[in-house]
Amino acid sequence: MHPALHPGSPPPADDEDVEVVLRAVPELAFFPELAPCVPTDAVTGPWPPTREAFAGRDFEALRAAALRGLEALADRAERERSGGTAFLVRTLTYFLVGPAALPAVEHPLLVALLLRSAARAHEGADTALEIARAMDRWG
Amino acid sequence: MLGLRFSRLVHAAIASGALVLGACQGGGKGGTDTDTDTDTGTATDNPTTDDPTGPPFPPDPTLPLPPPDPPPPDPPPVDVPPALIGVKLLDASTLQLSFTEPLAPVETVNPKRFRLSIAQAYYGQYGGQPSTTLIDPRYYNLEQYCSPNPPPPCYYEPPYDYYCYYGPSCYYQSTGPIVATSVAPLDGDPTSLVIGLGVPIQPFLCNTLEAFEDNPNLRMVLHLHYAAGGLSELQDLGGLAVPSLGDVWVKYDGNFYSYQGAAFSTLDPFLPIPCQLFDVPDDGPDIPDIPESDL
Repeated sequence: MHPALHPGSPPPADDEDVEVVLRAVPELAFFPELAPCVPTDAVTGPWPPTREAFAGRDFEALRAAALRGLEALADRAERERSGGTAFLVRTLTYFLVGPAALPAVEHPLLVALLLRSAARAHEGADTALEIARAMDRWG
Repeated sequence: MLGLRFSRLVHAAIASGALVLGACQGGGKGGTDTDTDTDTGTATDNPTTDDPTGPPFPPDPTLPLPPPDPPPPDPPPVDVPPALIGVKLLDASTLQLSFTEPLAPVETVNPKRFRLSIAQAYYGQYGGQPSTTLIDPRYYNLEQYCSPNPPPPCYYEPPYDYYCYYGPSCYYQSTGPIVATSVAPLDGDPTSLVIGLGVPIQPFLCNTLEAFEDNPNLRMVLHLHYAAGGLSELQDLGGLAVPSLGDVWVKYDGNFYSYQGAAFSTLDPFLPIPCQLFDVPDDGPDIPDIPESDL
């Protein structure tokens, strides 16, 4: 597990720490609190999919589900005194809803969840490592 | 590219104060614009009279009583207090203040009597009440920082540098508070003085103000505030004091302050500080293009 997501992890202390914590998004997408957020509708095409594979979709349900998942993860972060998780959850929530909300295809967690939905059709793709690689190719 | 774009947004949000690293960050550190960080010798020598917030109450019983009020003087000669008529940037770290008449020596004036704000006025065209918000300039005074050893902007380990090289890891971060650190006369011009700033004004701040120039509903300016009072205040050669200008902001510990009413109503005279100092080709922050729709 990414060290920032461990119970008892300290919150980031500087810019370098922030960079490290942000790299934990793919692993965060595999936390059980976010499992119900993975869209069930299939995506066809080669692995990894690009953002064009999700064109024309309505992401509001995904956004709402992700918000609920992040709220549950915030509880976990507090329960486990995980400063890294707390920061990541706070940051992802800040850019998920409200005036700073990003389009779904620009939000790392939503992208990770979309990729997880697409990975189900590809043997061995639904892992944090493969999701991370796919995020780097997302463009 | 997704990771790098998001990283830049996160660092910008942290720099602006919208995001904090720890849940309780800054809660016990105290403000940086308190009376302890930029004290001058004068303030230390005579802190009670040089405090913009006024003398202590109750008065110190060990001090001699003040003399009784003098009888009403003869009608004073015709005179008016000196007035501030302009503020401009001489350079990124120096403000020039111009007055209607020559000033008395300013060496003893505490720079903490001055504070800058980003004053943002809403004119109420959308049906709401006109209002003004004062914001500490630190949130807009961002400078570009490029990490000398940028971390691999990859989401996976180990990084494949040939694939995940996204360019230099640069982003904007706050310079911290912009406090006045010195007050001095301007050589050759007894009607002006100069104020030194602890950190220079950044082009990012001026670019932000410029972005609002064409907005009919909002106006955003850089403005100076001044608190009169006490012994070592700004005076003319006849001893008349320069009146306060939006002094609530000087005495206020916070970094955001809003009030209802006509735009900029507490700023009289209203003297926005031009940011023409950075009249250079735009090289503003590299904000990634975000599609208007999700796709």
